[in-house]
Amino acid sequence: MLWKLHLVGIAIAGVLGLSGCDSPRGIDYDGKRLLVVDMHLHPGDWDGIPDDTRKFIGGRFPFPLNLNPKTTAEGILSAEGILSEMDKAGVSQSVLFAVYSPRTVGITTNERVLSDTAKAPDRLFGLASLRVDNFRADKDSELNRLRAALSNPSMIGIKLAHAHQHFRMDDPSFFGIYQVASDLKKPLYLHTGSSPFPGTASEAPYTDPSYLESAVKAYPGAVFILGHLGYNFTEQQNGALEACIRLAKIYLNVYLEPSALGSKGSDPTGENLKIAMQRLREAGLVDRIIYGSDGPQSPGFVKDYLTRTVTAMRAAGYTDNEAQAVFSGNFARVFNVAPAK
Amino acid sequence: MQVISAFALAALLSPQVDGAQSAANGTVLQPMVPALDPSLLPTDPVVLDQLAGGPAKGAWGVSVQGGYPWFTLRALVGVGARLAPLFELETALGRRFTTSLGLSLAWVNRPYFRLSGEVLLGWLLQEGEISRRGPSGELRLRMAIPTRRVVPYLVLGTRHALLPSRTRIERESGTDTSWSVRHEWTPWGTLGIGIRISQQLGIDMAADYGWVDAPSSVAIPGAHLGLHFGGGR
Repeated sequence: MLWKLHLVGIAIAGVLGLSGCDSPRGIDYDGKRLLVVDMHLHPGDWDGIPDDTRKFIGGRFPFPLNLNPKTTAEGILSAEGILSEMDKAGVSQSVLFAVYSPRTVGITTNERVLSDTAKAPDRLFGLASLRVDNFRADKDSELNRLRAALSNPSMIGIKLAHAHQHFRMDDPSFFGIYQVASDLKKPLYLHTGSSPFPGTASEAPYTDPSYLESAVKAYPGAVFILGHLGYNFTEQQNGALEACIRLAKIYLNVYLEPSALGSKGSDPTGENLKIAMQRLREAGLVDRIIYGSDGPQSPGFVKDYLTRTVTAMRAAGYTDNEAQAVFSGNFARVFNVAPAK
Repeated sequence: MQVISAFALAALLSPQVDGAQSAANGTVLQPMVPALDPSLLPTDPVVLDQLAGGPAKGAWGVSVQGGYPWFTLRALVGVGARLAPLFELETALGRRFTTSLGLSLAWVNRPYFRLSGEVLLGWLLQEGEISRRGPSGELRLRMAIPTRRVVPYLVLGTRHALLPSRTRIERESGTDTSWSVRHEWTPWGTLGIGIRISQQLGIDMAADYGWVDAPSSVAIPGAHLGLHFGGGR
C-alpha cells in the first residue's frame, strides 16, 4: 500500500513540474530546434549502493519521496525510468555509465548497462568500466573483461573515476586501461574534481586533471573526456577549470564535459556554470565540449540541468551553431554515433 | 424549541457567541423564525471546532484526516474559556511520525470568523534509510469563516524539531563519542473546506503544504480528506 502511495507522489511530482511534461525532442535555442545528447546518466540498483551514499542520494529527493528512497530511485534508475526522464527533458540519446566503485558510489555492472541499452538501442549507449581495487593481481582479467564489454557495439567508451575508485591519475600501473581505449578507439570519460560522495579520495592526484597529463601525452590515440571540468563540489567552486582548459588547449585528444557542477545543489545561483561555459568559449574550446548532466539523480533533474545549462550558455553568448556542437555535434563526431531524431 | 431558536438568533446577532450566558437569563421569547435553522444552534458544529480550534467547554471532537502524504488523528476537548487540550498523531506514508500534546485557544470567536492559536510539543520519529528522531514543537494559527453548512479554513504553522546525532569513532586508543544537534524547520500551510453534516459530524477536504526541512529541501504538496465527529454539543 505504501509503495502505491509513493508512486502517487512521484506522479504528483510530475504533475507539479518537478518532472515536467513531455516535450518534443530537442531544445529551442534562439528560435532554432537543437538535438540534445546527454552523455552522462547513471542506471543502477539501489541495493548496489553503499549505505552512506544511499543516505546522501536519498537526502536529495524531494519530500516525501525521500521517505522511501529505494522506490524513488529504482523508478528513475531503470531503463524505462531513464527514458521517461529523457523524454521529459527532450533528450534524444544518452550514455549510461557502468561503475565499479564498491567503497563509494557502488557498482553498476557492464552487464546491467548492456541490458539497459538493449531496451532502446537507437537511444541508449553505454560506457564500460572495470574494477581496480585489486588491480595488481587482477589486471589482466579485468582488462580482458573490459575488452569483452567494449566488443558490444552499444558500449562506446570507458568510464573511470579516480577519486571514487581510489587510484592516482598519474599511476603508470593503470595506463593499460588507456592503452585499451587507444587500441579500440573508445573514448575515456574521467571524473575530475572533488566529489560530494562519502568515502571519496580528495587529494590532488585523484582529483586534479593536471595529474592526467602524462597519460594524455603518452596515449595520443585515446580521447580523454574530463568530466565535471575539475569542479570542486566540496567548496562549490570552479576548482580545476583552468587546468582542464590548459590541457584541452595543448592536447587535441582532450575533451570537456560540464555535468553536475551547475546543479541547484552544487551551484545554487548558476553563476559558476555560466563562468565555466564563458571561459571555455573564450578559450576557443567550443568544439571540445560534450554535454552531460550526471542524472537522473532525482525526478526532473535531467530536464532541470539541461535548462540551467542552456541559461548559462545563453548568458555566455553561445550562438545556435555553437550550442548545437555542444549538445550533440561534438558527441556524434567523437563517439561516431549517428544522431537519433 | 422556541427558546432555543430565539436564543440562537440573539446569539448570532451578538458579537460574542456565549450561549450559556444568554440562556441563563430565563427570558421566554416568541418565535422569531419559522423553523429551526441548524446553523443557529447554541453550540458550534464539530467540524468548525476541529478545523478552527477553541471549542466551548465540554465539547469534544476527533478528526481523522487521510491523504497524500499525510495522515492525522486529532482530538480536542474544551475545558472552558475556549481553551482545549489537544492530542495529535501524524504520519507521512507510515515512515515519519509525530506525536504531540498541546493547547488550542480561540482568540477571536465571532459568528462568521474564528481565529485560534495552538502550541504543541511532541516527538518526531522518521524511519528508513534517512532516519531522524528528536523533540518537536509547533506554533499554529487556525482561521475559519463558517457559514451555514460550509467552513472554509486556513492553517498556518511553523514546526521545529531538534535532531541529535551521535558519532562514535573507535580507535586503538579507545572510543570517542561526540554529539551534534541539527534543527529541522517545517513551515506549514493548509487551505481547505469543511462541511457540516450535523452538529456531531462533518467532513473536510484540503490542500496541504509542509515544507519539511526548509529551506534546503524541496517538498511536494499534498491533499487530504477528513472525517470529524464529536459530542458535548
